[in-house]
Amino acid sequence: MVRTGCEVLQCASSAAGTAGLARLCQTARGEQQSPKRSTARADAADVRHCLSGDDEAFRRLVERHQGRVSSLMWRFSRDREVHAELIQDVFIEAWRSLPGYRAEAPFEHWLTRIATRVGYRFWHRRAREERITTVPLEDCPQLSAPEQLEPSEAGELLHRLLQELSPRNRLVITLRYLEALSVQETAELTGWSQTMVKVQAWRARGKLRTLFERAIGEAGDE
Amino acid sequence: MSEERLRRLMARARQERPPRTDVTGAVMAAVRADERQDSTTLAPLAWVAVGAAALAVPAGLAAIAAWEFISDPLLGLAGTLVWWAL
Repeated sequence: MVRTGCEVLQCASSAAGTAGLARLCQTARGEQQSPKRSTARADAADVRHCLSGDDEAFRRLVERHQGRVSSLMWRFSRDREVHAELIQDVFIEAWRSLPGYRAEAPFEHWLTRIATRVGYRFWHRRAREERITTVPLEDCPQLSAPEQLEPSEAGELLHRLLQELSPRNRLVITLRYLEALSVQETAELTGWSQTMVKVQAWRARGKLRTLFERAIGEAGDE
Repeated sequence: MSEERLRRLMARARQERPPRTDVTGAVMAAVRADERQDSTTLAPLAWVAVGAAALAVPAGLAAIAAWEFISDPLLGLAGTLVWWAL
C-alpha cells in the first residue's frame, strides 16, 4: 500500500499527538492543494538553471508548459503543421528573451504573453499575405443549434467566422470569450488598457454577431 | 436570439481540446543551433576587437608623444602680430 506524504504525517501525528506534526500535515495538505504554487517554484528554479547555462532545465520548462501553449496556439491556427511551428516559435522566443525575464510575474504568465504576441504577429502576416473575403458556412446547417455540434466542429466554425475580422478583433474575441480571460488579464496579455479592451471587445462582438447572423441566413437558405 | 446562439457556439468551442503535439525535441534542436550560431558569430568579432585594440594602443602612445611637440597655433599668430607691431 502506498501512502501519500500527508497520510504518513497524519499517522505520525496521531501516534505522537503533537500539535507540531498536525501543523506539518496541514502544510503538506496545502501543498497538495496548490500544484500551481509548486509549478511556479519549479519554474523559478529551472529559469535560474537555464540562465546559468543548463539546457536541460529549459527542456523541463518546455515539457511542463507545452500543453497550455498548444491549447492557446490552436486558437490562432487549426493547421496542424502551422500549429506545431507556432508552439516552437513561442518557446524559441522565450529562450531568447529569458535573460530579460524579471520574474515579476509567474513564468506561465510571461510565456502566455509571448504566445499571444507570436499568434497575433502570425495573424497580421497572414492578413497581409492573403485576403480572406468569403466564409463558406452554407455546409453547416447546425449553426442554428450549436449545442448539437462537436466541440471541434464548433471551434472550426468559429475559427472560420473569426477569419473575417481584423487581427485585433480576433485577438480580443479569442482571449475574452474563447480563453475566458478577464478584462484585466486580456489587458496584461495584449498591452492594451482595460478601457481599450472593453471597447474593442464590444465592437468585435458586434461584428461577430453580424457575421454569425449572415451565416445562419446562408445556412438556412441552403 | 442570435446572441444566445453565438454564446452557445462559443461555449461549445471552449470545450475543444487541441491535438497532442510534442515539440520538445524540435525546440531543443533549435535552441542548440541558436547557441552554436551565437558562438560562431561572436568568435570572429572577438578577434577583430583584439586586433583593433592591439593597433589602438601603439597609435595612442605615438599620439601622446607627438602631442609634446605640437605648439599652440595662437602663440605663433601672436608672435607674428608682435613682430608686425614692432
